[in-house]
Amino acid sequence: MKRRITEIIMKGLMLLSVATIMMVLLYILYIVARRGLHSLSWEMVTSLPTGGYYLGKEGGIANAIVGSLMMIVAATLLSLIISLPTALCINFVMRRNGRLARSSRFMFDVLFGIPSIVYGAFGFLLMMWLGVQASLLGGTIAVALLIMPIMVRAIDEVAILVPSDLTEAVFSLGATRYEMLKVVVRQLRPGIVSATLLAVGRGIGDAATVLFTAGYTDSIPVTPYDPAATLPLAIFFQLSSPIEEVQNRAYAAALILTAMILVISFVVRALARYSRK
Amino acid sequence: MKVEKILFEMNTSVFMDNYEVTTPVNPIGNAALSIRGLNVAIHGKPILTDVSFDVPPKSITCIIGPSGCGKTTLLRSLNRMHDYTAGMKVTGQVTIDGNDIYAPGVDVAALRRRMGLLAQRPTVLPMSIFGNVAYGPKLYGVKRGEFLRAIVERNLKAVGLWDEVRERLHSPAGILSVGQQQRLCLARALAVQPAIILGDEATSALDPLATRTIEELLLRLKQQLSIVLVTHTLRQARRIADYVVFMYMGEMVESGPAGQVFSHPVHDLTREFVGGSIG
Ligand SMILES: Nc1ncnc2c1ncn2[C@@H]1O[C@H](COP(=O)(O)OP(=O)(O)O)[C@@H](O)[C@H]1O
Ligand SMILES: [Mg+2]
Repeated sequence: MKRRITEIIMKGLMLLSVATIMMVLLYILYIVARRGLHSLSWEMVTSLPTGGYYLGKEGGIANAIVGSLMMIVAATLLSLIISLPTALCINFVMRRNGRLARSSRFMFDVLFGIPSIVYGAFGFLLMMWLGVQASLLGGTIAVALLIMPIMVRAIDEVAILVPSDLTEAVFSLGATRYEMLKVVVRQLRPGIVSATLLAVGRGIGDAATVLFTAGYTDSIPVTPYDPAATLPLAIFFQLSSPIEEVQNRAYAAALILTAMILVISFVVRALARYSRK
Repeated sequence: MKVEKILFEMNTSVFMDNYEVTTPVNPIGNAALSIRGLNVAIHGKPILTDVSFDVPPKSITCIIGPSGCGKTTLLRSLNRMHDYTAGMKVTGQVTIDGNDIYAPGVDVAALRRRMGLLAQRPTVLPMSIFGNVAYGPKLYGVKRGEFLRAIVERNLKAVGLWDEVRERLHSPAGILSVGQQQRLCLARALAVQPAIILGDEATSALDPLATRTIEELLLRLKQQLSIVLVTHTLRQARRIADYVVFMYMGEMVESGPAGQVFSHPVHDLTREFVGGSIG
């Protein structure tokens, strides 16, 4: 009897926490939609800002949409190229529970907790040193740095579950370590997809990282060395305006950002499913 | 038939390309292992001390002994799986066809190709049924689709799985039952034409029926290759062993033909273990 009551109470608590989170999320979405939907228009998505856009006149934020998209795709790829080998190294080259592996994990956890403005500042220093100005390239590097720890740890969480039985089975067929890792990557594919999506979500919405590193511009960047506008900054600038219509457009931009994350996550999952065939 | 002949010759030559450096040309499926003075220690703590015995060709050699006596450690030193365990030190000699596998400069990958491994729990690779069997041959450079298909078919037939899976060769291997998965693992191992099969309690995760299927397969396979099997049950050793190696606390206590070890053990410990009073 006591166990049944515990069961019911625990189930209730779990449902309650799900409901709480859902309510908060829905409320945020509601606020954003209430203020933003009205200002959302096709023009906003497809056209560049005109001179009077930030005073409430016509124009759009295509510059920021395209800029954000370019930057997140480049940053995610860059980060994946570094993160995947890192996670594999921690689990399959180092002893996966050895001191080196554990201190690496700890280091990435610390990096994960560093505020994004620090990545922005670090990226800025790096750019000064390299002689690069605020640009698509600079923003990409800073965002890649920001999302790298998330990716490494997310891939690592699934890599640590790969049983040594699997690696030994591959070795026993006469595979080299590199060939073994290729099999492991296949096994890890769902984890890599989740890690990528986590990283995209974190990277695309972050304003502080791109503030100094990517700059802002009303046009679409043509080369990696041009400054690039991004959605988080577009939201930030418009929100700081005293004009109500411009503020509403900030909410509309937030809706666009949310929709983009949704679309990206569908596309990535579909690609992953397609590539498995 | 013609394709099979080509395959065999092709595989053989690929195989030799990889192995020639360390081993003189040997007919496949005619190798035996010889273990002399094998010591294994982890961080200085001995697990195996001075183990010596022979694995005769074309027969089943069962390693028996109470749990924790070092059977798995012994088996893993035969295909150099300890290479990846930090702190594990192996000394002594393990020779295959007269060549020491621990000699410097041995191509470990090529060596492992000569020894199929059947693990305690079946471990399918994260790919299709076809992909599992074709994995090894692909590593060794077999690329032509028709060759791969022939290899897959031949080896799935060899383990009696062909009729059960021929319609779904391209489904993930994970959908098979545990018993089928273990047979798939055997087919995968056979596809690289090993001379020796190593098994570590290979049937302990299987139900009695699947166990029997595997045992019958091993009995059939021993006509072509040598099999070393760690067995968790004495009854299994009685059923299939030609030779028995009895291990106790890291030492080889007794080894010899199965009939002799079971009916006329020389050593007291063996008598007690076989009689069921220890273990
Ligand atoms: N990687 C390892 N690290 C530490 N001890 C080990 C390791 N592998 C095996 N041992 C020890 O060696 C002994 C023999 O183990 P094992 O070979 O697995 O025995 P069995 O297979 O006969 O049950 C055990 O005492 C075990 O604790
Ligand atoms: Mg064991």
